[in-house]
Amino acid sequence: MKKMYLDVLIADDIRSGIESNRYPENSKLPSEQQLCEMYHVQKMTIRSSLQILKDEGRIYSKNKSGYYVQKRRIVKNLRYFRSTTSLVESMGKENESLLLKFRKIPSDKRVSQLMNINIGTDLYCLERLRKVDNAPVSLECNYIIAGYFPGLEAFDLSSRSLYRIYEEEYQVCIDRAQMQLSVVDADGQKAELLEVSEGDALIKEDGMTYDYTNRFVEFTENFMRIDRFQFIK
Amino acid sequence: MQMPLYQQIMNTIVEKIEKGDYLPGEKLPSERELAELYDVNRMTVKKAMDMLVNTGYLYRCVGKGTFVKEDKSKLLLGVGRRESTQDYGMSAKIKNRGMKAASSVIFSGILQGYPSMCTRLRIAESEPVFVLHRVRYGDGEPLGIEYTYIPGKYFPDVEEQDFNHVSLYDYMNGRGHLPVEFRQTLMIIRCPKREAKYLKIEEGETAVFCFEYTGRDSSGQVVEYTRSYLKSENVAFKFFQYSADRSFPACPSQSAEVFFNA
Repeated sequence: MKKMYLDVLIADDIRSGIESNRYPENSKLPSEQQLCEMYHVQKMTIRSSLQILKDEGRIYSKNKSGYYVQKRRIVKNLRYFRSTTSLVESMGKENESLLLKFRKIPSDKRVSQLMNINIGTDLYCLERLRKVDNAPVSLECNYIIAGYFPGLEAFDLSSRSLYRIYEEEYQVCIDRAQMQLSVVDADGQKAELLEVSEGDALIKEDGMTYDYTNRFVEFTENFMRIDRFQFIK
Repeated sequence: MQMPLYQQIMNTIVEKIEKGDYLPGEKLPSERELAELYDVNRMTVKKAMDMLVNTGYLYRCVGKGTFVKEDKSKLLLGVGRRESTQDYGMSAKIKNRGMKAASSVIFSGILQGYPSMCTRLRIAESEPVFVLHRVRYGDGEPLGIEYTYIPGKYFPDVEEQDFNHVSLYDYMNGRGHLPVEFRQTLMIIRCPKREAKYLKIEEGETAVFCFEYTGRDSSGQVVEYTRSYLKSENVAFKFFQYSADRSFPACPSQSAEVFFNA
């Protein structure tokens, strides 16, 4: 039997320090030397532990000056809806939603198949880029059954929550969504918008949303930077 | 008017694919066998199969037969749902996808004096933690790495088990402490070096799912803490999301208005 990986355990101990806020966001971690003394191990082991946390996006190194705690991820609950805007605001961060595209389109083959509707059904196609503290975090695309929301273009979709508009203006209340998470490569356009390199991994969250009368209301596709989100359930 | 026979057979097969009776990649019975099963002409079966090949449900392999087309997501896992007691753990899920499950133990043993893990497991620092690090395989391919920690006190004979062959959850179940409730977190990260080596993927380049879960048994005690790294290729996680628990929405439903106006 091989020896246990000490670096994994030490990484986990430092990780618990980050989670419990013993090491707050943007604070400097103890130096490699200090960590060696704390855990009674060789520098090699500590380097390996720090690398694990770096790969995980928990810490970053600043040119020779040491290791710092990375920005906190946006924690999304997979069980219950909560608007990302209110989530971000509760973290005390600035949230901004840029309206990239909003138009009425007839559904094409791809979207019709995904949504299980007839080709040519009128849809509102909405694309928004979300920025948190001025840095892009996600690209959110909604394909909305236009027939349920006549005149949707009249509302300010960059500042108001979409679901709130559904509720307050159209009395359509969202009850559930059937979603799926996967990993995709960023194409040129998404890479540019989200400020990653082309081919980098992105999280794709897609699925169908239903209202309280069990009508299928919209199909959403959300592309997220992998280092800015965490999911809990 | 009754639906043509070939359409009825088509629907039956599609239903079986959707229900998971026929799994992705699984070979279907031959046309002759299906003809006997449904008591129809073989040409009728052939017509139904042709249609299903054309619509992308099935594919033919010359000389081998007809197979269910692989879903893009080969391993479709639910996040944190335990379908039934027969269906727990990763190996059950791998098996459910029609793959052969296997594990190899990288490390197993008792560890003491690891304060943050004791906190995660809600035990005192002096109590032993059983450590189990495993690589999980499906059809011989590495799918994920699991770093599992369980409180030793509930499992006195844990060190005598060979987890290369024994399922951890079967063992835990046998000792009356099967985790049944989970708190999970999920991140997508660039694969760290060691995991990349085990998973045979490019370090730092490839993204992997990184799960962390705390499992509690039926009496509410924490019996497991696991961090796992899972290949992201061909894997998707399905989940249902609900509006906050409210039986009635904030907005009045239209049918109610009609009812009261009537």
